Amino acid sequence: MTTSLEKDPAATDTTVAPLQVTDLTTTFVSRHRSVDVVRGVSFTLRRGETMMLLGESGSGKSVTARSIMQLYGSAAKIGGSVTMNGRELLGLPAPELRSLRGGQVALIPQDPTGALDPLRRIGSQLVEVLGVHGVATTKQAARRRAEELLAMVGIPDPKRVADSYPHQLSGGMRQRAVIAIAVSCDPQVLIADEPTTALDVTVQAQILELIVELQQRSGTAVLMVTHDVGVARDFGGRIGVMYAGRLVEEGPAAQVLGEPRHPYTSGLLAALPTPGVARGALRSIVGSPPPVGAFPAGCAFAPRCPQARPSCHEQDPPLVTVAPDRAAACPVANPGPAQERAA
Amino acid sequence: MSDVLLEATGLNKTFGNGVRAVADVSLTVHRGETLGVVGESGCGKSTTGKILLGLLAPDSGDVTFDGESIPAMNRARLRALRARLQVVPQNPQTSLNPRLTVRSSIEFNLRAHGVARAERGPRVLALLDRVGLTAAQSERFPHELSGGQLQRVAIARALSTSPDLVVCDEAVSALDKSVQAQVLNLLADLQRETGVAFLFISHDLAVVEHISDRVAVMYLGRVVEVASAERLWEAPQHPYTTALLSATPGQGRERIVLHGELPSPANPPSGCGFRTRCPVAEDVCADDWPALVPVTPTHAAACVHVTPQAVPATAG
Amino acid sequence: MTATIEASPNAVPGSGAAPTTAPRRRRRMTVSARIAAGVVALIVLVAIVGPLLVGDPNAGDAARRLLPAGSAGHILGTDGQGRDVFARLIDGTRLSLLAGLVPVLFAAVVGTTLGVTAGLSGKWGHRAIMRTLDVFYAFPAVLLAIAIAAALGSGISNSIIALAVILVPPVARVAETETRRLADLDYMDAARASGASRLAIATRQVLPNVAPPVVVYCTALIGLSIVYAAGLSFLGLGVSPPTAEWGLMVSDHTQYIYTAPFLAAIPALAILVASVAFNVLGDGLRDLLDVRSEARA
Repeated sequence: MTTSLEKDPAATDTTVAPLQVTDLTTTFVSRHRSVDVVRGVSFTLRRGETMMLLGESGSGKSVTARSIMQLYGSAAKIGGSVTMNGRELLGLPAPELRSLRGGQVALIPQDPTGALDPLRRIGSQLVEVLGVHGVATTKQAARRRAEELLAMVGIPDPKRVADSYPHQLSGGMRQRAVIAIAVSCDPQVLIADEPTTALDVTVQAQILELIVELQQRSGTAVLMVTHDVGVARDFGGRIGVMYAGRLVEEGPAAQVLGEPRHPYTSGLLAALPTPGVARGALRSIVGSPPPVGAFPAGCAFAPRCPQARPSCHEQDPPLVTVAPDRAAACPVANPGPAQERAA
Repeated sequence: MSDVLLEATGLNKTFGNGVRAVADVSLTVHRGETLGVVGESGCGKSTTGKILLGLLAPDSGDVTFDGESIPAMNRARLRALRARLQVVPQNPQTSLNPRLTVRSSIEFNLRAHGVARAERGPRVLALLDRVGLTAAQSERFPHELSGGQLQRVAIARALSTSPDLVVCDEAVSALDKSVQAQVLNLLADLQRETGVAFLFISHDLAVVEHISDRVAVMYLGRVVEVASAERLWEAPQHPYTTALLSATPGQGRERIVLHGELPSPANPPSGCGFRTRCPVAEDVCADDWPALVPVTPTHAAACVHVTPQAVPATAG
Repeated sequence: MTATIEASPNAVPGSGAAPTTAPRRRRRMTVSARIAAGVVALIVLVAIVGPLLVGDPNAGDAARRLLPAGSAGHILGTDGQGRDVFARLIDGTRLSLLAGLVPVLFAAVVGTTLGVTAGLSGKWGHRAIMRTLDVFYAFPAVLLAIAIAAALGSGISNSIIALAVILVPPVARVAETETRRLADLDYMDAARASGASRLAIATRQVLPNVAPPVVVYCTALIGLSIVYAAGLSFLGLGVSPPTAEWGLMVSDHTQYIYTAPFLAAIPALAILVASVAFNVLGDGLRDLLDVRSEARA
């Protein structure tokens, strides 16, 4: 758990934070229409800290992560501010952005197969990344470093794997290779976009342990995107629950998942099958998450919310502090003016 | 009338590429119960499901449905039986024909079993109503519905001919958790009302534990443990089951991280297929794949570390 | 085409399996495809009513032979026998179009039936059908058509039969490929598990999926078929003189290539325009009928 508590994102010293996201908006524009996918997300990621973005399909969690790296090019309009160590990333010229990606900020994608070049050996792909970012100067040094990295991510015979093509490796090994590439330049921020969703449970456990281990070793800040409450619970750190492109609740994972304040978070937790719940008695949320492009007006969760008030359908409640180090975007979650004053 | 609805004995299936997908699998489904089948990718759970549905012929072994052998049936008999043996497929995006409306998809099944044209319309609407969809949605095409709605339609279609057994192959795995809970509740309600039995195939142990009466755990094409859902959750006997439980995130169990990966089913290790990753493997494990031995009358596991008990096994 | 097809908001990557229940939008064909559709409609109209509006295409005046285009009373001039080229061109539309359409219609029905049957059959049924059709690929299609037409003797019906035979294998291949693609999908498992007969599965589940690509492919084939039919006539294996038909007209006019060089170009241009129009329309239909992007999330 984090010890330095955040009261108000605007009030804290932002220059030291490896990653500060303020009022991020992402709008996909096509010839025919534009679709708001991320609608004002703010959070701070400190050194060595983990931040989870938890949400269901269409919540904008992956898009938030990828918008930080500005991976959408001209397909998306990104607004707000993203700073790394105080330096604004939005609007950076392409060459600077490229050197930043894979250098100071690296991505572990969901599907390792798509992240690797199928026609090149793993070793040569690693060597290339090391060369581009100037980590290794000679070919031999790069090759040595590549094998070290593969060993570091728990690949038993790095020499053989370095000489393998992606299709010769299992899904878990491929994901380890992708992680090796991601951490090769010692990034300050590691963005993991559902890194284990494509893997089997027993392999998923290995990969999650690996990410924790790498983080503890290097002090990298990790932004992890997941739809799996269990993964979020195990990973700890801070958590941001997303719904319809907004952050609806934020705080330390243990607190948010132990004692949720937002009705969506509590609904999501109650919907999980857990031992002891009688069959057929899961407390589901009515309806389904709204599809991208069709977010309801007001609070997007209001149509599914058991505690919705008439005003919820008109006004989208802002994310406000509801307890020390906890924030929620719901009038129901706010116990009263006393706490608001405290914030 | 026997309590046993479906019984599979000694199923084997090896594909042309040498993958031994199913090896010596025996399972029993009782009337009105839910048997969960859990395992990771490549463990043979889906292939087993297809054999039980009569969509795939086993190389050896037998499947009896209500006392009648499915592999031995002629085509006409099998077609008639299919009214009683249905399927809800995995992927909402492909479980319905994209070119057919919801109504046409369900009517197709009714027509196959001789329901008169005039009767089909009202039956479709009643089924959709039962799974929580509206009459207006019956004229929609699959791409106009959400994943949860699509799986509801697939459930309505499966139930249209009042089956005794529905094979749910990862039927809720692709759904969002908040929607998954709705569909799981729906399945439980329908079972209570109609007495239908489910064979519930999934990789998600928490879901299987919730929905099932009994659970079979598969690894590399074999059943390694069978027990009641509660018993499996509380007192797993096979080291793979224990590891699988501990790897399921968010359960707060002490995590046993298995080393290595699932061996290729085309080239399995000698002896017990799990021994290469097993934390308690011994030399003897390399000899033979252990048989399922009963731990209690309703609990069996295939591991040399399990102490057999002098009680007749009914699990299986 | 009245199909309403929803466009996928494919500019929303990475957002997981978001259901795409976006507002309905009618998908349109491209401008070029719409022009092609207009040309095709015009050709069909000319084929139906054209012959009623022009004079006798066989009425020739030997004294007024090889008049240049733009001559009084002969907008496109006259041919070697003094017949009005415009009247013959209009009158020939009917036979040329018929020679394009009929073989393709036949090939569409037979090819789809064979292709779907092969796609749904077991290993041996599939092999028997597809290997038999492969025999046709051993010969160049045109050569095969010439051989068949020659064996049957000249005449429009024989040339249609010859073309129908050579067009069946490619259509069957398209239908078979599509059927095989469906075979592994969940809903086909569900259809097999429904207890429906194979015929019901083929006609009610498979055909609605196979029909759109076959229609698209066949539309483009019409253009090819018109060219082939003209080719057979050119070689004297199709329509016999003095009937007006584009291919025969080209053949007829080429003997004057030195005296009236543009004469042969007139029917050749008609063949080109018709063939291109059907091809472009085929491409347009593909865009219009393609809903596969919606099926994926």
